[in-house]
Amino acid sequence: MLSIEKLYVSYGTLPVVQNVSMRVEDGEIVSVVGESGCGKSTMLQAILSLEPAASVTKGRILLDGEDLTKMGKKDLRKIRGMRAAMIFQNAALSMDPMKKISHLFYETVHMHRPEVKKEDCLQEACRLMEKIRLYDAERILNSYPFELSGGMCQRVAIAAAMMNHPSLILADEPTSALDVTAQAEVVRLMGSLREDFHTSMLVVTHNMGVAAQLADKAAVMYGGSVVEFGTVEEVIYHPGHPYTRALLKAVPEMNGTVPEGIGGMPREFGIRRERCGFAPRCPYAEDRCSVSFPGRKELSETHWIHCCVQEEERR
Amino acid sequence: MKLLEVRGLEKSFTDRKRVFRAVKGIDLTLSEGECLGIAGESGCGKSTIANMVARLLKEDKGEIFFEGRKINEGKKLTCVGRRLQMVFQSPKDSFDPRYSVLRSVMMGADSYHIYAKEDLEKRAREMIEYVGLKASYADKPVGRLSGGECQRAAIARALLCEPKMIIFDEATSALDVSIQAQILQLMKRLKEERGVAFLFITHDLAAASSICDRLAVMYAGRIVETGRTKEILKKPAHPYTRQLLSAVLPLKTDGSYELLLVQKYREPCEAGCDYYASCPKAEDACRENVLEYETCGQRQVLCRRGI
Repeated sequence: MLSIEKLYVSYGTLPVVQNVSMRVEDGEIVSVVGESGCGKSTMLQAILSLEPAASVTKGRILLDGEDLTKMGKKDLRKIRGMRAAMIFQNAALSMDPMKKISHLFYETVHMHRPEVKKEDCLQEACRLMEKIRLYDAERILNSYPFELSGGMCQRVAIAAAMMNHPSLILADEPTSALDVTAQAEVVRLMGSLREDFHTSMLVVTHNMGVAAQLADKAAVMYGGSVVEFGTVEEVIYHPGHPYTRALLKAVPEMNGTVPEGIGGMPREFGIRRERCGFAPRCPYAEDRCSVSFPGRKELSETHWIHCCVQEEERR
Repeated sequence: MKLLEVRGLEKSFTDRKRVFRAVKGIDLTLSEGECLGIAGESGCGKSTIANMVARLLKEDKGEIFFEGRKINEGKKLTCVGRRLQMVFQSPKDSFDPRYSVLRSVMMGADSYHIYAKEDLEKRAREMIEYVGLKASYADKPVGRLSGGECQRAAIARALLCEPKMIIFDEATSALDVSIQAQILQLMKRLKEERGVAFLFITHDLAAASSICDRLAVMYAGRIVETGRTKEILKKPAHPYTRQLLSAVLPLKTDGSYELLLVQKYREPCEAGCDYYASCPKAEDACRENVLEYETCGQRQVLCRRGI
């Protein structure tokens, strides 16, 4: 489906994403987790070239075998919203406040399939909204984005993204602007869409709970690189990288204890990838960690980390 | 004597001639050095309460006592003073981005004339380090700080006034889990070392449960359940509390986890329970009964079905 190979993305001369490789198979949900500023959103936006300031300096992004980095603007426009749709963090802000929701649906369809009549398009929208448990479809279509609550807007945005039945959904923090109740709703909704339409998803989130409940596989990013990749069970129950472990420990456990957190601050950009980015904050760091970037170490067929400290030494 | 006591607090907003009752009669107490969490979804009125207690908003009805003194008398909003401070949700918006961290942190204490001029700067620098910022940050402009660092600076600003109580209005919701954990750790330290009381307002029960001694769960302007955190987590009594708890997506599941979604089971009713329309266990009697709290020790529940 989607295959990212050795991707490097820079803002001008500032390297942000460095050597990221991952695959999203058909009908699979992969989530990318990490702290703010680790480059996860930049990586996601680079897939559809949505951020003009960020440029892909090296690597390939293959969507069904076609290299998106080599594509012209016109071809990319045909893919955006049709074969790969994007869901943004703040849905209300990603909509035009002057236009009604019905226009949003029509615009999405008209852009790629001009032959579809408006009535048919809105009927389809109603059907889709019912599917995601938005029962008041008529009223919603006649509302403006600011008249809807945040959770509702996000669900409408997801419905709009599904209008052209894309095979891939890219979601950038789809739940972090919502409160927990709306978040749970959106997570369940995205899961059910995958069941119904067999859509693949790449979901960027900083919420480990969302990743655990929604995704099949998880990629942990730190300082612009993926430091751990594996199935959700492997990453959450048997985390290999010290950063993943620290990140998991920072999640409040609902048992009255204050989570531990990670000492120090996330690493700053602009540092070339000559050593392990996590070494300054890592409790197991050794001299060799600050010499070279650790190579890939396979823990199982689907699970790998970038860390040079041996498993036995860490205990 | 209780540090904070709130009785019968009410507030409604009017929008295009429609009256919306945001807070419908709230009673709260907070002892010295205690941490009370108010949890609930967006729009349930939890931030409105915080703003009224901090005197940023005038209530329609009710009484607020702070350190035994009634603070909501008179027509004007009176400043509560340095003993009650607030930390806001959006750390960056609560500062002027051009000011240095030092100047921003000093601002609050300066306006109350707590310290002498020379003393103030020294103490501000100490405070900046106390909350875990590097000493060199003092001269940086606030705009250059990250969200978590800003939130620390906001806590330093509040602490410099030597408050008895700090209101955290969604202070950790905009932050990453790792940074949220750091702020929660800092709060725990403040509680232990300085005996500051907190009013912790959040939609995330997981964050609230790690730091709060007591919890109050709010729904549609009313507190539906209050009690010790451990008891509520162990055995939530109100159906809404159960739903809110299930919305916290767990990392590891043992199979018992079930997501309870907000559903509209029936048409809402005017007189009865606010949660009637979405309550999975409502009965016909819930329509009519004017509810009263059922009390059992520290536990209070606003539900016909009781504890």
